Amino acid sequence: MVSSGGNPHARGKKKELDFDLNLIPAIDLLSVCICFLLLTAVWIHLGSLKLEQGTGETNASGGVNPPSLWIQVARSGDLTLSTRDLPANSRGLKGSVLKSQGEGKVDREKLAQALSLIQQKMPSITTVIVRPQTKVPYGEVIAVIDKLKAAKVKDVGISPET
Amino acid sequence: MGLAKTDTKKDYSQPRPASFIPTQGPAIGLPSPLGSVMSGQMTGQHSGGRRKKDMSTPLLLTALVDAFSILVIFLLVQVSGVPNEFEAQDGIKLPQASAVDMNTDPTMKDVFNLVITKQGYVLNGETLGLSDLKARLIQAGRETKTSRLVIQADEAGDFDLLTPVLSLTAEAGISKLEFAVQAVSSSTGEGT
Repeated sequence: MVSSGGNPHARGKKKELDFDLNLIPAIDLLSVCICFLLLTAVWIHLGSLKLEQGTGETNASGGVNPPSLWIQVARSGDLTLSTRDLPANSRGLKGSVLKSQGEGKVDREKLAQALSLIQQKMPSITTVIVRPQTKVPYGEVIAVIDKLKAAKVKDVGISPET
Repeated sequence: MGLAKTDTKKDYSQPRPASFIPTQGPAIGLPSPLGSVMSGQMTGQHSGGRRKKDMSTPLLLTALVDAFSILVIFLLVQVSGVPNEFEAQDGIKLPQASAVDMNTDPTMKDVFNLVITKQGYVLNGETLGLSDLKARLIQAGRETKTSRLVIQADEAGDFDLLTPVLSLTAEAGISKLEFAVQAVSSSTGEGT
């Protein structure tokens, strides 16, 4: 058994073991950190959708056009899908219409589903051309391109109707 | 006077809680001369001989430090400090997109920022007409191996404003175009 008074180091005044942790500097430091982060933070992330456009020299290089999907964007938000230059033995799309979700908005979910289906049925299509009609909102065209990029379409181009 | 002298004979050897108590002064151990005044432990004519009411309220700083730490960690993780490569033009609401390629070619150093509005075309802060824009784009086309053409336009604007620009870029031999968008996550980008 160890008695309470047996420790020779405990002679004299009992040493105070309770201490206060000074939290004020920690709060100051954290406040400065929060202010710094709030001021230097970038809240709006800007990015870009990269497109490869055909230039005047492209056609001169000649060759057979690759199989492609053409998406016509109407002002109403309707999308018309057609395929071109498919191999002779494969069936393509001719004017399949994806109705808008109203108020001139493109139905993005339907487009994503259609793209997934097309990629399954016609894997040779790696080129998609977007054809906006006149007076189509820029945001809706970008929405279509965004869905094409999300579907990992290799080549996306724009050919506006004039 | 209303203020009584402080209780200098108070026993400060008593264990104190971890939280900060104003009556006990700074944490270095010395009592604050205003400690009793701050805590409301006043003696004198207002006390009237009644038992003093302890008005000291322990301020729980530990919880505050916890909350601040969580805030700092959230800000460090959630918010990126990497600046955008180009600045959005005031008055233009960029469309939102989720399939944004944030990786840029480090060799493409120069950015040609083309803002398309109803009022006209602004290339790197300089308002231009179509003919001037064509000349500048042809010049940019020569440097296009090390430069990028970023097009900004309002999401509600007509795409017709871009049609002449696309023709000009084709004439200038610029094949790689970038459309500036506001990057959003795929879950929030739906239906917006």
